[in-house]
Order: sequence, then structure tokens, then C-alpha cells
Amino acid sequence: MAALFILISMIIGYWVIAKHRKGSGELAKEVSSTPAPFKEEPIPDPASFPIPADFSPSRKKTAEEAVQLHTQALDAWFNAGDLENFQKLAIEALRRYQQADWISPATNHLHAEILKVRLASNDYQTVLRECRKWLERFPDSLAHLEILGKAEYLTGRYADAASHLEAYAAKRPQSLVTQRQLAEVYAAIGMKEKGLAAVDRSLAMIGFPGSGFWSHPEAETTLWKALKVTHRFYEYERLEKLASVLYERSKDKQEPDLLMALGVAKRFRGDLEGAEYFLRRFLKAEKPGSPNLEPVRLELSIALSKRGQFVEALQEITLLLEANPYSSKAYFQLGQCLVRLNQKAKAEAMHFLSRALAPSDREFRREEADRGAGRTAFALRARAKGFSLRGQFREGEEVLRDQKYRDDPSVQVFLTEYLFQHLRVQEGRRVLRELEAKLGAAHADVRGWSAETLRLEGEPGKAVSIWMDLCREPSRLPIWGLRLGRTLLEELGRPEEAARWFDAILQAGPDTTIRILRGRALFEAGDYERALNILETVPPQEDEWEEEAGAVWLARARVRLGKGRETAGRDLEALGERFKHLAAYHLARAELLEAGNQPADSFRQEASRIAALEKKFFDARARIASAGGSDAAPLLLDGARIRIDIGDRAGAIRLARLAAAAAPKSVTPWKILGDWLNRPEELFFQAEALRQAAALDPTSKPALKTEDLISKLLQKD
Amino acid sequence: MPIRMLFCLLLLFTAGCEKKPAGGGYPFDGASSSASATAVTVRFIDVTEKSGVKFHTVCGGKEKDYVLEVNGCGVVLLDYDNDGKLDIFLVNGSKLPPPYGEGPGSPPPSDALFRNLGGMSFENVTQTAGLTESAWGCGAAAGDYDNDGDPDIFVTNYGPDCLWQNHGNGTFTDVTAQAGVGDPGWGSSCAFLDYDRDGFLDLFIVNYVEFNPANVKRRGTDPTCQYKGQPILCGPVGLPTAPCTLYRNRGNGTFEEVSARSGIRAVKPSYGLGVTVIDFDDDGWLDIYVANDTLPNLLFRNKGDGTFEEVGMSSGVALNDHALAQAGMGTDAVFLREGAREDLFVVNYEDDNNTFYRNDGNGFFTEITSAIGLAEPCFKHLGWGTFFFDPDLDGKLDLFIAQGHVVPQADQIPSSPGWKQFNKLFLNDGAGRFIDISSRAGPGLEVKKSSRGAACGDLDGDGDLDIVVNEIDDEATVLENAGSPKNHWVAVRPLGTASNRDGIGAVVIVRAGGKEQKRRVRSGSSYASQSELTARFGLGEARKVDELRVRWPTGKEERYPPPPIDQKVEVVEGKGSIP
Repeated sequence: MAALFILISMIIGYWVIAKHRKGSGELAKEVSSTPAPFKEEPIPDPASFPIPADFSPSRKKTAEEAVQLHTQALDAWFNAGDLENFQKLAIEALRRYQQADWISPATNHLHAEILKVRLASNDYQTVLRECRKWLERFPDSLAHLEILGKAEYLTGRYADAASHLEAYAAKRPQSLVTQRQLAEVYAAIGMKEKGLAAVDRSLAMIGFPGSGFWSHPEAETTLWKALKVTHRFYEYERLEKLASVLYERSKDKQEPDLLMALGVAKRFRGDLEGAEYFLRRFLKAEKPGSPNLEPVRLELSIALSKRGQFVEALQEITLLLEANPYSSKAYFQLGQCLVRLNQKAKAEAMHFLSRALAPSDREFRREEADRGAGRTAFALRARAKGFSLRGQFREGEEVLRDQKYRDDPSVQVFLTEYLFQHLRVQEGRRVLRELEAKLGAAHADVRGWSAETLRLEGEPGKAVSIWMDLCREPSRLPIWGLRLGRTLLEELGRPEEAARWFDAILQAGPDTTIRILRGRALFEAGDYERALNILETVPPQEDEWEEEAGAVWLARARVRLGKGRETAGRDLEALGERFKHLAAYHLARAELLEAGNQPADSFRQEASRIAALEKKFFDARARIASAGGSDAAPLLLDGARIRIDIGDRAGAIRLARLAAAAAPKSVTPWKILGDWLNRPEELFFQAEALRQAAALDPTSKPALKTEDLISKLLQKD
Repeated sequence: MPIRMLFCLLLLFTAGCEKKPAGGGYPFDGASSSASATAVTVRFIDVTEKSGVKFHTVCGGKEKDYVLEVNGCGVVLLDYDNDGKLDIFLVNGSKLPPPYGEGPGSPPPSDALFRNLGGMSFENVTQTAGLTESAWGCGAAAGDYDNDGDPDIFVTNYGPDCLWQNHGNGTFTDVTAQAGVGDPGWGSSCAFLDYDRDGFLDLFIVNYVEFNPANVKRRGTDPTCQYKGQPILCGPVGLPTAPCTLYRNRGNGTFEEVSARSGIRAVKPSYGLGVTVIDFDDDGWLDIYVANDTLPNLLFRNKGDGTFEEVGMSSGVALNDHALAQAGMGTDAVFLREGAREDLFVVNYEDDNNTFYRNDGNGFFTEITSAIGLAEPCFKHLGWGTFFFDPDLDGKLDLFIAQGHVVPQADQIPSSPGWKQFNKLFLNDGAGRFIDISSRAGPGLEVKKSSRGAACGDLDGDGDLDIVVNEIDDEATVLENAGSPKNHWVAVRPLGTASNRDGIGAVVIVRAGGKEQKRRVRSGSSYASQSELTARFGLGEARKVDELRVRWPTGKEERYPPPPIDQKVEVVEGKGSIP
């Protein structure tokens, strides 16, 4: 009896439920785990807001025209999709509203819609300006809060974006779009807890990880955003979960971003076999030239390396370095593989190269930090410097030429600086002229860089006069003082003045480069005692000591004063080949020998030869500075050949690279680089040069094949 | 029954059958499913007040205008009076004189020694011990350098370091000058070790930066000295680096400085902060690992002839997988896996992982931080003191990290967890992963300060490991291990005869319950600190020790009778049998 009762109850129960589910759907909604999507701000009907009764007839007429134009504008956009017409009508309607001095909720919405269109066409400055003005009058306008937050995010003002989007989200907690935007903003600033919390809220809004979340219309968009933010915060466990969900859903299981996310997450979580599987599939699926190929190949090589498959890891690294021979991380991994394969000498060379390229990594990290702090111009400058340190001069220039920042004077100043540093003087002049038009000829940056133009074009005397004037203002000393002092010292032969300026800079704070230069200036001015005192206090392990050849000047000072000649001799011997391109080095050797009454003619002759070549290079540089565009390329190569004659191999290679950047279609710079880059650690640079040359001129030396590169690497030391 | 009521009942029935979302209804509960399933018996409670350890660390001014003012100080646990109870030595800093700071005040801050009275109660005996001083201290280590039976103390300072000789009667004397160990640099961490296996403890000092406030811009006066938009102190980048120092013990109470001769100074100086002693290649000669700030870490391989070669890069412990030099602070070495060699662990800066390097046994290491669960939980935090230990005595080594930001301006940075941070406790799940149990390990892990040095030892004599943390600009913290139920344990204190008397460098091997565990008796490690020198083993469910061996620093290995459980034993070199 009881069993029968239960059975009947169940049958009735199922019938009731089925009826309700089939019928109204309300019950289904209640038991569904997927929340209904939140509708963003509804579009108000302009005609639904009555014109105030106390308007004068003319004012009422203007208001009516406003409403009519407004209605037509909305129709143009939402029904006809005619954005251009919408803008025209909308602006006209807004003008009428302003004339009638009537702001209704509909006006608020119209104004916001206009700004949305502006935002979509990247007119960020207008959007920022107009939004802020509007919010001063109408601080409760949620639409404007939202748009302002978006615009701030897109222009790198992340902290402001967060605060406005948070204000919007507080009033509209069910706005899924805003939670996604917040997650992204927090990711940009690096606010991990808030970022992940926003991700969690957005996922909860689509009902994830419930059973029906895929039915939410924004499920996919939200999951992808969650994936991106989670990846940003290195949360690999979460990343793997999200990526798996999306992967299961994907039709062909070939979506590169998912393959990459799964592969990377598994790599970090120690599932190396799984990592290899997905990362290899990504490399097959992804289109050539994609910026993700390199980091994925690096992760694959790390995964292989961790499994002890060093040869396979080396093969992947080879492919990576063929595509980008400037990767500090790749050289490090290559070194790790080589050392495990018992190729210690090559490993050491690759590790050394990795460290040499690492400053560029530091610049890229600095860029990230500056960007997060809203210092966009500094971020771009750091990024450009990062490329430059790798010899990727064109890429660095492109960063600073980003159209988004063409109206930002700080970015243009940094672009000027970059162009001059890379001897693109005529291009730098053009940018300087635009700056002058914006900031005025008297602006310190304009004057300072104009002086640099003069110096590079062979008029250092005029340049120092301008800098001296600028440096009367103490705050400008650190910026222009170094150029001033160095020019006085190295180009005008006025060491006493140089020493005084270096001293002035040091009053503002310590600086290793300036200390060494001051020591050098004092030496050249004949004040050997003070020179020695200063140079002896500079730690020889500092990078600047090497960059400024501090050891050479210290040795010279010691010899001149007869203090520590033996030490000086040993130090000079220990320098090896490093400073043989400096006249000062040969003079130091000569002076040391002469102090011991030994002949030093060969060193004196070498010093003279180098000095003469430096003069020749000075003239060559002036010619380079006067040329522009690809015309500078042959002159840069002339300069490079002079540097080779001097013995400055690094300087020569730099100039040859600049020539290649100045004339991308010219084969000569690449051919020259292919010949010069012949050291073991330069294998991939050489490969790049040969490849570029072969692409431009098939009759050039053939490019190195991947197999050749691998076998060179695996050849016993 | 009315049909409506039946319908409601059935409705309730079916509604109750609706499939619940996995994981509790919220997308990510902030922990993996395995983490939430892990049973936690560890419980730490803050007993600072009850303990009588009243110690405020002074380290510069409140706003930290100079880099000297941020690194804080360390702590050493030692039994200075050989009464069987672990005492506490806390290092103190100072303040810069005008115009750079407000001066140390009167009386100036001093390091302090707290004598263990038993029952987690301590008394300050600094004055009677003769340890009152006014130097700007940073790190410390304890070791019986003269092999006379009582531990001496070495303190690194900003300025000349200091060696305190223990007279065995509760008093100490500053013998720095006679011993010849007054390294004038800014010392951070240090360690005693017998690198040449002559039976006498040598001394290794990590120096940080060559710092002179007259040559460094004050916070806020150099626009390039900023962190995420906040003006902060300048350094260490941009300031002169500092070399490490190695002193060789002559065996007659004096040391000779052998930094250059030993090859320690053949490498470019760095910004050294942490040190741990390890024998990574298991050749019987102690090697030295140095954690550097923003520069590659260093691994000095002992060649066995009095010299070292630096092999950090080639062995894989200098950088992380992405070739980045991290900001290493504290470090520890550990025998984590049965039968394997010592691994290395370094704690790093905010927005970066800590790094665990697994020893592959062939001279190389592999970074596996994320794979073992130690990356993400600490990514936003900043670690200092750290050590592997077994607080729940289950035979698996767990991990403690003392955390706190470098600069108080972190409180103004939205993306930063701030100046004061919670410390972290990770449980070893025995399956190759560490689980963050910080929020479940008792109120002791709810202490939020800017922590620096940290050390562990059995302060209350109940067999498990307690913790002491040196907190910058704050009161030191004493955490009692109050977890239950307790597993069985054994503690071994090796006493050298041919080796240094403390047995520093010895490896103690215990086999119980079918498992073998190893501990190295280590001076230094963590950050600027030193834990107890007793090798302590949790036995889990095992009820007896099957085997006890000691590999002495001089190379000899001996077997000893298995000790009784739940007791501390001393084993003397030469009194065992050769295995």
C-alpha cells in the first residue's frame, strides 16, 4: 500500500512539474542555475519627457526641435545603422537642448551616446574632457561614469578608470559588462585580489560553474575575459580550469588561445607531458608571425628541458632564436640546455649573452610598472629603450611613433631623444619642429634637443652654449649637464670646464658615470692628484666603470703620479682586448713604459692613429646627421668601417645595424653584418643577417638552415 | 492529502534534487579542492606577552627615507647557558644621526638575549650577559667557534660586525678585534660553517650595499626613486654593490680573511641578503648559496682545496626559468624528498614568485615552484625569513615564510598588500605539493606585522617546533606550537669531537616507519637568523626509530643505537659505529 502511494505521488509530481515547465516557464526559471542577463541602461524615448509647461513659446519650439532631431538621430543609429548621420543629428539635437536650456534624462543619454561614438573612433581626449565636464554638472549620470571609466582605461589612466567603474558598479551591481571591465582594469594595475574578485563576480553572474551557464548569452565573452585576467595574475590552477571549460566547448579544439592557455598552465603546474601536447598543437594551429609563437616556444622548451629532453628543447630554442635572435630568455634556456649537454664553453657564452640582453628585459618590466602607475610616456620610452638595447632600432622607434600619442608632448620629447640617439638626426629635427610649434622655441626640451642637433651636425661649440644657458637652472643639470660636460671633454678639448660642470652635477647627488668623467676631466686638465683620488673611490665592479673605461684613466693617473705603477701595469694587462680601441689605453701603456725608461713608440703611434680615425669618425658622423632616411645608410656603413679600423667592433656592429634600420631594402648592411657577426654566441645574429641578405638578394651567401644551426650548437666544444 | 499539498511536497522533492553547482556554488573558493580536503592539525598561538619577550626592533625612521632603514633584523635560537632550554637572541638596529634621521636616542637600541626559564617564559638577561651594545645590527648566527663547549654569537652590523665570545658563565665578551672579524661592510645574513673540514667553524658573511647617507638621495628628492608611483627610498639599484666575506678559523681564537684567496671575491659583488649552507653535489664539502637582491643568486661550489667556484648560472639556481634575476631575501636548503639531495628555496619580492629549485642530483637544479604550489599564494607578498620544518611532526617538512613589505609607502599602493602582511604556513601534502594553510593554522598566523628574520626551535620543550619572528618597527613575536594531536618525534643533537663541537654541517639521518628522513644541522639560513641546531624529526605514526646515522662534517659517517621516541638525545662523534 505504501509503495503504491509513493509511486502515484511520483507520477503526479512529474506531471505537475512537466506541465509547469512546458507552460509558463516560470518554474524553470526559478530552478535554473543561470541568472537572466542584466540589461544595461535602457534607451529613453525623448518624446516621453514632457516639455516643461512654463517654457516660453520660442523656448518650447526649440525644445520640440531638439526632441525631433533626437528621435531622428536614434532612428538613424538603431534602425538604419547610419553612424555618420546619427552624429550629425545628435550634435544638432544637443545644441537645441542647450539653446532651450533643457536637460532631461533623454538629453543625458544622447550626450552619452555621442561620446560612445567618439570613444569608438579613438577620440579619447574629447571623451575624457566632455565626460568630466558633464559629470561635474550631473555626477549621478551612470552612463557617463561608465564611458569615462572606459576612456580612462583605454588611455592608461587605470587608477581613475577603476574608481569610476567602481562607482558605476556600486549603483549597478548586476552589470556584467562593468565587472568584466573592472577585472581588466585591476589586471592592468596589478590589483590581484580585486581583479580575481571581479572575475569571480562576473562568473557567478553567468552562473558558472553551474550546469546551465552556457545558456547565458555572455557566457563565452565572460569566460574569455576571466581567462585573460587569470593568466595575468599567474593563477595557473584557475587558468587550467577555465581553459578546460572553454576547450571542451570549442568545436574543432583548435582554438590557439585555449591551446596556449592549457599548455602554459600545465607547464607551470608540472604536467609537462600535457604541456608539451597542447603547446605543440598551438604551434601547429597558430598563424605565422603571431606574437604568441615566441613565448609558447619558450614554454615548450622549458617543459622539454624539465623532462630532461635537452636536445629537443634545444631544437625549439633554435627555432625561437631564428625568428628572434634578441631573446634574453631564450639564450638563457639555450645555455641551460648546453650545460646539461656538457657544452660548457658554449653554455657560458650563451649565458653571458643572455645577461647582456637582459637590461632590455628590465626596460620592458619598467614599462609595465610605469604603465600601471599611469606614466604612459615613461612606459613607452622604457619599451623603446628595451628594443634599442637589443639592436631592434626600428621596433623601438615604432613604439614612440604610436599615433595614439602623437599629441602627447612628453612622448614626442622621448621620440626626439630616441631619434638622436640613433643618429636619425633629420627625422629628429622634424619631430623637434613639431614640438617647437606646440611648446614654443624657448621651451627647455626644444632648446636642449636643438643643441644636440648642432652637436651631431658638427657644431659642438654652439651646442654647449645653449646647454650652459639651460644648466643655469639647477633642475636641468641632471638632464643636460652630462651632455654638456661630455661634449666639452670629448669634442672641444675643454677639460677644466667639463670638470666644473661635472662637479656641479655631483652636488645634486651621486652618479657613478659623472664621477668617472670628472676624474677623467681632471686628469686631462692636468690635476692628476685629484683625478686619482676620485677614480680610486669608484667601485670597479660597477657597470659604468667598464662603460667609461675607468680602469684606463685610473692607470694613467697612477703612472703620472708614480703611485702604484705595478698595480697600474697589472690592471692594464688584465684589461685584455677590451679597450684597445681607445687612444687613452695606448697612451696609458706608453706612459707606463716611458716611466720605466722603456721605448713606447708603437703605443704612441697606435694612440695617434686612433685619434686621427676618431677625428675622421667625427666628420663622418656630421655627414650622417645631415642625411636623412635611407640616404644615411651608406654613410652609417662608412662610419662603421672607421670604427672597425679603430678596433671598436661593438660600435661598428651598432652602426651597421642602424644602417640596416635606415634602409630596410638595402642588402649591403646585412651582408656586412653577416661577415662581422662570426663569434659563437653571435650565431643567431649572423643567421638573421644572412637570412635578411638572402631575402633581399638571392645571390648573397645562403642563409643558415635550422639543421645547420642545431648541428653547430651540438658540435663538441 | 489535498492535491495542492502533495504538489508542494513533490515540488520540494524535485527542487531538492536540482543539481548543485560543483565546488560550493562560487566559481573558485580560493583554494583547490585538494587544499580544502587537507586535514590541518597545526595550530600556532601568539604567546609573546605571556612569554616575557618584550623587544621592539628599531630600524631607522618611520618613513624609511634610506635603504638602510628597511631590511630589519634577525633572530637566533640557541642554548647559551647549556641548561637544555632554548634561549632567544634578537638583533636590533638603530637610527641615522641628524641630518639623515633623528639619531638613536638614549639609551640607544640594543640587541637582546632572553633566557628561557621554562614553560614558555623568558627573562631579559642582556645586561648581565654583557651583550648591551649600540651598533646597527642586522643578522646573527651562533656557533661554538672556539670549541669550548658553549655557543658564541656573531652579529652582522652596518659597520664593523661583532663576535661575542661565550664564557660559559652566562656572560659574553666582544672579541671582534682579537678574532679579526670586524668586516666593516653592511652585513646582512651570516653563517658558521666548516668549509675546510679542519674541525673549526669558519664564518661567511653576506654584505648588502656600500651605503653612505651623504652619497644617497633622501626619499622624495630623486624622481627616479619611486615604486608604482610612490616616492620611496633610493636603492639598492644604483648604489655600489658589496662583496661577500669569508673568514677562515685558524683554530686559535682568530680568523683570517680569505675572501679573495678562496675565490669568493672572484665574482662581481652583488646585493646579498640571504645565505644558506648546502652540499648540493654531495661530495662532502659544504657549498654556499647566496640570495641576492635584483641580481643573480650565487652558488659557491666548494672544490675541497680551500677554494670555491661560482656555479649559480650553470647549475640553474641564479635566475628563474624566464632568465630573470629576482629580489632574493631569505633562503633555506632542505632534504625534501627521500633519497634525494638538498633542494633550495628563495623568497622574493612582491609581484614575483618565490623560487624552489629541485636538486636533480647531477649538479643541476630545476625550478618547480608552481608545480609544488608555492608560487601563486605568495605572488603578491614579500618574504623574508623562511624555513622548512615539521610542526605537526608527521614526518613531512612544511614551510614557514615571514612576510612584510620593504617600504611603508606600500600602504598607498592599491595593488600592494601593504607594509604589514600576514605570514604564511604551507603544509606538505606528501604528494609533492604544498598547501597554504595560513588561514587555518591558528591565531598565531593572524598576526599582521612587517616581519623580517624568523627562526624555529622547541622553546617549551614539548617536542614540537615553535617560532620567533623579528618584526621591523614593532614588537617581536613568539608563536607557540599548540597543535594536536601530537605525533611522535625524536630530536638529535650531534656533538662533534674531530668535527666542530656544535656539529654544524652534520647530516642526521633517521629511519622510522619505513621512511628515511635527513636534516642538516645548519647555522644561518632563513633571513639574518638561525634556528635551533638540534635535528628534529616528526615520526608520524611510527612508534620507534629503526636507524640513526650521522654524517659528520669531517666526512665520517657513524651509526648510533636507535633512540627512544619523544626524547632529545645527544650523539657524540666517535662514539658510534661505522655503518
